[in-house]
Amino acid sequence: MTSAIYDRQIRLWGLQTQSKISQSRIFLYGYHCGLLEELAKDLVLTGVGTLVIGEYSEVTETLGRQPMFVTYLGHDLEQLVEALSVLNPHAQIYTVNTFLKQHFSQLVEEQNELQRVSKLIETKTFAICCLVCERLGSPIALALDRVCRDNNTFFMYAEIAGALGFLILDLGCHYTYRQLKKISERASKTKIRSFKNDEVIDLDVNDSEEAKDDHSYSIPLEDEHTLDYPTLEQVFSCKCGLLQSSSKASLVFLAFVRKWKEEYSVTSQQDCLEERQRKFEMFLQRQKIGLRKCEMQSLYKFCSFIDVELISASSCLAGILGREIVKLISRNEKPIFNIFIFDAFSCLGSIVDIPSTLRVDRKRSRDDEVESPIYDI
Amino acid sequence: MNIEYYNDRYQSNIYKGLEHCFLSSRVVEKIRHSKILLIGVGGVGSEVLKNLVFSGFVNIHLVDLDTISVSNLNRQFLFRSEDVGKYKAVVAKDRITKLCSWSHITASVENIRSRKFPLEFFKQFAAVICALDNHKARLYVNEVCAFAQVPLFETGSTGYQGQVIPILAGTTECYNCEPKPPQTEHIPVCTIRHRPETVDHCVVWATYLFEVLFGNLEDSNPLSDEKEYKVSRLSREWEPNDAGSESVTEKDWEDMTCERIMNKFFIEDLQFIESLKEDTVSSPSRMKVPSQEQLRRHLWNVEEKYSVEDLKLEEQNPHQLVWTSDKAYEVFIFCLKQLLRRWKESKSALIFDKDDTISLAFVTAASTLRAIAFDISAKNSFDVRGIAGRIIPALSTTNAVIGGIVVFQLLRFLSGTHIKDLYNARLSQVPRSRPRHSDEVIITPEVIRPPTAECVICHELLLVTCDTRKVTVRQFVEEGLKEQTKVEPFSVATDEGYIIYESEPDDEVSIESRNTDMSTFAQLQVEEQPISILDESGVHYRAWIRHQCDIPLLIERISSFMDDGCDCL
Repeated sequence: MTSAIYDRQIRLWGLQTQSKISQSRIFLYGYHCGLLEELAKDLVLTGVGTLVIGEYSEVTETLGRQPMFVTYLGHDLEQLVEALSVLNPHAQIYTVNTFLKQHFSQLVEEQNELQRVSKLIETKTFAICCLVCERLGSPIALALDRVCRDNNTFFMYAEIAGALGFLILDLGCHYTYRQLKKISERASKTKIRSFKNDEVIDLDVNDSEEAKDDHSYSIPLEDEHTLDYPTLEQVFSCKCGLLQSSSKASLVFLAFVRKWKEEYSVTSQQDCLEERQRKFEMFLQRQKIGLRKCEMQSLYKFCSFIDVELISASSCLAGILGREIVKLISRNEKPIFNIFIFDAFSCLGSIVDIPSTLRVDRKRSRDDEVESPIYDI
Repeated sequence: MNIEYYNDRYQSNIYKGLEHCFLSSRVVEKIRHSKILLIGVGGVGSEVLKNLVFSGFVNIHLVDLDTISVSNLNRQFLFRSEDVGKYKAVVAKDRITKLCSWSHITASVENIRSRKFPLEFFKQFAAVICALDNHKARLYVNEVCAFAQVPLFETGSTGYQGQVIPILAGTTECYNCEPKPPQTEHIPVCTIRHRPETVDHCVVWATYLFEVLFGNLEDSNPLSDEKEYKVSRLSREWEPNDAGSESVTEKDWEDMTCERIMNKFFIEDLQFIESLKEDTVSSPSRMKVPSQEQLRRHLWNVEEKYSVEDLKLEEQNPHQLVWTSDKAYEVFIFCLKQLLRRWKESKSALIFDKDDTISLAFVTAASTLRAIAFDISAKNSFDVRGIAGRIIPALSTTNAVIGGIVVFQLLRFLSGTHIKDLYNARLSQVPRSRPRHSDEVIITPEVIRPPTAECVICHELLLVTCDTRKVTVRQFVEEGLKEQTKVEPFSVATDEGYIIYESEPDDEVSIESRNTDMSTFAQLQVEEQPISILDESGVHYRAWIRHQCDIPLLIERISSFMDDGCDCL
């Protein structure tokens, strides 16, 4: 019986959440990198019902220019899907192409890949869409975020740059979740005893510290909360130089990484560390960002590993992301709101939220490439 | 694209990644040639192994004596359903080697405390990663790494939380420095016997009841004075004896024994406890004590009503309704009879096994009846299994985070960072705020603390090297401890309590310890394990005896690992 496999996690979040997990449908898209494999592996092990995985179709051409990823489950997406199916024979795991052929064959004709993916999201099949490593810096992520928003799909942006990892969540402007209350004190008061036939009807959920899933006949003791997430566009256009956060420097660096991918994907310049650091300085000047000396020093160091992958850092970020996905399925806990930054060097995993005062809708200017939502990639 | 090319690209990406991250090409060679010991290939261990291999480590030694079970499969991704029952270390080695052909993995299906792992074994490793799940084993690993002067990376994972702790005893705080709360909270005897307050107390009572009836009765069992109810004794009472008494049928014996046990533990004991309460001003609630008639009517027809299969389904269902007292009595009797038969067949003590449906149902039924009597909410067999079996919930995502952090910290260490400059990392269930920081954190770094002053592992370690076939206890004490080390020993003993030397032996003490004086270490078999030395002034030392041929006795005090505590490139 499959619940025997999930015994150790059912004891944590209950059968109801496990059941929801087994019915969930999740879409992963991006580079076939270690982060993608790790995330897929964690989701499959956790019991996710349907997983569809897509990678950028232009990959083979840009193989020389793509970051140095570390993968191990499969040489290509088909092999990865096969390896994942072995981990969980009950899960339905597809590549995008196979999934489309089987369920939405009309979309297979779509020439433009981003359009194909967008239309797939528009079918509202998936609860969650996760972009793993943006190829061009920002445009793909922004386009997907918009499509997801329009179709009530949760969007998660995951980026890895060597020892740094980033997650940005956009769960829409009205994300609700229930926080199950701890009710250990109530336990003794919520029993009903039937004296006639010696029955004890147990009305408490549990008397342990962690709020677990409730039994169908118990009193739900919940508080409902609502969160208003900024769009990805608002996050990207936020002037992170103005943030008061301790993680300001990391967010500045993410902005630089995005810019670097955007430029590097266009030019074929050979780059070295000094060249990157020079570009970084130029970036700071153009954005008029001022940083402390110690922040500058660590960011200079980070420049050296923009385009490499370390499986230990990816594994860690995937674990955090996997946990968030379960939260979105169970709706019993507050998810990350809204940015998570992991720095493997300092062992720090921090959460930043963009205050509403800094959320601006980007004014379109001549410098902006971001005009139309449809990209020819 | 052929496999060979792809393997080259894998490796190339891995090593380029290291080079770029740590800004050094020597780090690549260092990692390729470092040997790592991984103790435990379970949840965290599987992730660590994968991360080690795909971070460029080639030589890894795995130690795990456990076999694979079904409940491992939600997170230990190197194992599949067809592997259930096989040894973890062996399967992990096979799988990871298939994924990574250039790795060189050794697998040992052994207890890490085994004599197959002398101190020299540990010294060959650049670092040890401990992914164990029990306190005692961790203490041992901590100690042996201190003696071997090898850096240790401790890990732990429980549900949503986890931690990574780099240790170099003497330089950093070690696992022994902070007293750890015992894994199982000690519950006072009177709580178990007379005043249970939570369902956990009832479950614990029920497991002790199991032990009283069927098991090896230890003094630590709070019900140990009920030994007359040991089934082994009860059975003698009903056996046919001298002429005149009728022989009792099997069924009669079972029924009588059931009735006797139930009367004792569900009527007499409760009545006794109630009488205690009358003397005090405590809780006014009356206890629910059944009558003998009520008990007797449950004895009929239990065989037809229940089956192992039904009970098994129930134990797998987290939403199973808590049993009514009627059902609990019936299940209790059903299981009691099954266990009586089992005991009779095996003729030896039974041990409670959370994976055995009948044992679990017995404990669930007993704890339910106990809970009802004391007006406590009972729990179903799914939950009781978790409590009685001390099951620790576990997730693949938590292990992924911990496995990632520990390997990265190891890389930092091997690239030249001083162990003191690494971090203790904690993964918390909910975000926490940090002083002087505006952001909340889920992964918290903590600065590594220096050793606590009282820690014997960090301060008072003696490494004894000698020819153990020749050196006697007397030589060790006189020439070694007193002369070389200037220690006046009061006693020397192994962890099993075997005293090999006492400065003031009791007249009543066993002859053994007097004879050990002239015995060699080899004869006493005390090599390659930690032993305790208490000196006359009360200072506690730990010593490790290792054999080397034909050398004079040498005792060294172990002080901090290398001068600067880092593995220089």
